[in-house]
Amino acid sequence: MLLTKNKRNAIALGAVALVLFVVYAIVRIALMVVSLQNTMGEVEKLQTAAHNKDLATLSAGLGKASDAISAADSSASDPVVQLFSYLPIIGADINVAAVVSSDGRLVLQAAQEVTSVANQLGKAGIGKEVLTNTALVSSMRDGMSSMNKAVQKLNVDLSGIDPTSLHFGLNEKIAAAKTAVSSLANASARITPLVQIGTIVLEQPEKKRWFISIQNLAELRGTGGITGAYAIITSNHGKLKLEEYGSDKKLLAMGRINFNSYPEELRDVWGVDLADWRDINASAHAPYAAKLLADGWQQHRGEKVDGVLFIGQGVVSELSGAVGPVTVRGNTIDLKNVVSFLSKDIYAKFTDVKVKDAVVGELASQMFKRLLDGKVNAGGFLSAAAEDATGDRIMAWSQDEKTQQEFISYSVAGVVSDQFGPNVQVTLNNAGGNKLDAYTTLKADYLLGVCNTDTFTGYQGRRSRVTVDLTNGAPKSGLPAYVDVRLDDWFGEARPKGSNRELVTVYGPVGSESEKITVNGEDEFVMTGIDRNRPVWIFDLQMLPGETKKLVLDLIEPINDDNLELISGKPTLTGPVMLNEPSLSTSSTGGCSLK
Amino acid sequence: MKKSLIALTAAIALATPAAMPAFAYPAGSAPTLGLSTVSRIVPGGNVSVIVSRVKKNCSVTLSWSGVGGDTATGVVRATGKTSVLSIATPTNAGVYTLTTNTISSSCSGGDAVALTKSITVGKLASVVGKLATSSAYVSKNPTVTASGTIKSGSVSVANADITVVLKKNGSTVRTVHGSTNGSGAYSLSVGADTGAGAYTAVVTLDANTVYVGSSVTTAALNLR
Repeated sequence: MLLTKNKRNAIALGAVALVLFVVYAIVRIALMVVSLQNTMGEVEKLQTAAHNKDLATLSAGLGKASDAISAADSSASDPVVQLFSYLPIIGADINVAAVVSSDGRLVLQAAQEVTSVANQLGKAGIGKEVLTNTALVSSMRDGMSSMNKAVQKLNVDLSGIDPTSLHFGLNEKIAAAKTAVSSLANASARITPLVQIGTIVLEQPEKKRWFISIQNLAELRGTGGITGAYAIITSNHGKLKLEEYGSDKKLLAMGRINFNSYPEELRDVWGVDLADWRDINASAHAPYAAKLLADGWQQHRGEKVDGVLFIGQGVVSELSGAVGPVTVRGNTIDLKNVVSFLSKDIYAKFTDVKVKDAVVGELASQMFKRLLDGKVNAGGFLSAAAEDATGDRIMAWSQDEKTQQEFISYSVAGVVSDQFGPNVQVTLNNAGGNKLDAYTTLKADYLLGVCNTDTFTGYQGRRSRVTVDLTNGAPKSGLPAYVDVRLDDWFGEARPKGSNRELVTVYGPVGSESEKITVNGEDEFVMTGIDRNRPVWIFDLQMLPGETKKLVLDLIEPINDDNLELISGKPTLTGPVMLNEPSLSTSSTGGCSLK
Repeated sequence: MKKSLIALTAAIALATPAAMPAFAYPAGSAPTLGLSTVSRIVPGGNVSVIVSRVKKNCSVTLSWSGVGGDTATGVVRATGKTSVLSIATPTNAGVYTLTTNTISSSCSGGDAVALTKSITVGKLASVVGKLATSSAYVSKNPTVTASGTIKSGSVSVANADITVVLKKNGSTVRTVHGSTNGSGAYSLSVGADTGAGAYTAVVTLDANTVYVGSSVTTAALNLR
């Protein structure tokens, strides 16, 4: 049948429109590809500027890369281009290009801001000269916080992409990008808290004294590790000065701490002596231990401590990367070996404890001096952070309420939340008095389970389960006596070389209660308490060398709060601060509703 | 956590001897009182306890502080632990303190110590309440009524005794007793001729064989 002229015209018009539509989409996609290639070209140039430590050129280059990727993002966001992402074969490639353009734009823009501010701070003599422009310091903090957020998002989005589904060579590029971004995300997650805390310390409006607790993660505590050494640093209008450095022996020699400020109901929960400088951080809530350190210093030295920072071997490795290799008594310590040296090798090389303490002191003094003299290498800092495989976390506390609120707002205060919600935290306290936690590993899982059950504490609730696999990976022989000593009282049980004793603390959600507690499938008797409104269960475990124990805690936890409002949110599990980064996972069977 | 429970626990903690054994480093050196179940404990049920890190052959006795009832005694083994001690909980719900005898310094390895543990026996409930009046003017001889509901989780606390204490400017005016109906609701007249002022009521679910006593203070009601 012949078509009328009008119909023929309409079909022709439709065909032309379709062709134009396809041509437009192809042009946009081509623009996106070209823009991404331009971005990659600019990013490659950045490496030279970074190598030459030329922050001005780096910032300008980031600006160009940012412009290029913005153009790519503009094309990727075009609804016409997005329609093509539903096509078979090339759809996945267009999707990936859109993710890279969108997330990458945010990363590059934030990076440009950070390098621009860093350049200005460098010119202002940050740390060495009086700080005249505190806005610069806070800009650096804001920039790093934004960049970290963007990098973490890019990492999460990229990790969800399967490179094998891509074409045109994108598969190899994305696989390489995933590795690089994962490394960058690790570095960013570790550097950002350091910058957040560092900038807050620098911008204090008057002279402040900071106690730095250098924790030894080979002997674990709730906030990380035993205070093996300390440093006193003053900040004065942006200028930093190392006032004093010492080992725990010096603290012990000062005398016992009056611990009146410590919450009375918590004093006997972990069976610790709160007057002993080595035992004050059994709770995961860093402000408790920080206050005791500040009180102890004031009581014995008559000087007010304005704030406390907790750092462990992981943070020290970042600082080592920043200041470069340091040689102490013939041993060259750098970012590659500092964690192993401080947690294992030092005990084998220096069996005399006094000499060992002196070596740590010399190492720390050299590092702090270089740091405060501004002899830092940003590349080394970044590399050390990217390669850091510890579970260390820096924490900070301030006597000043406003400053403390800032630390809390950046989640660097080590505060245990006392609010309702599906939050579980696990900590370890070494109860053997040894350094065997260099060999301790932990895997933990938190599962939110079925609904429609009530708690005895008066809430509508749901079942949940916390599982912890704790392993003592210490060898059965060959360790120095100082490392695998057992200082806890002997009660007749076999304690072969390499055996340890751990107090595993599980902080349950507010209002939760235990239904069943087992270790390796057998009912377990646990110590209990309430810390920060959170029920805590403490497992006291003897760990033989090479042994793994499985702890299971079946809970019933509230789904409503005291105002009868539904508690929502994904489950969160906070692992111990420890030398070997813990493996953590969470899952949920879904949401619950109130009856 | 329920505010009433926290307050009660804190009060008991403060009332118990503040003395703490002086034990040296490392953590976990002090004797401990370990429980297999620390929650969901019913009145008249049993609690299983092991006392640990005490010297061999020392005797440990468990009891409920201040309320009498069951006791349990065990001898510490070579492992530094007693066998599993089972002690019956009090028959009325409430927050109780489980305590050991004083463990001497020779048995503890540090200072002499009596271990204590605050334990909630029974269920907690949420009390909701408000005050209403037939008139805001004293001249009209108003009747004041306290009403509300009591639930524990998703369950209504039915046919339970309650006590309402009416307060005027913070001072007790009168106390009225009543109970919830089959749906956990209550409505109690707390009287008239009370004069002008700001009134509140403390509504308390009386402790019974299932529920721990819980209370709430209503918002203020002003009579002119």
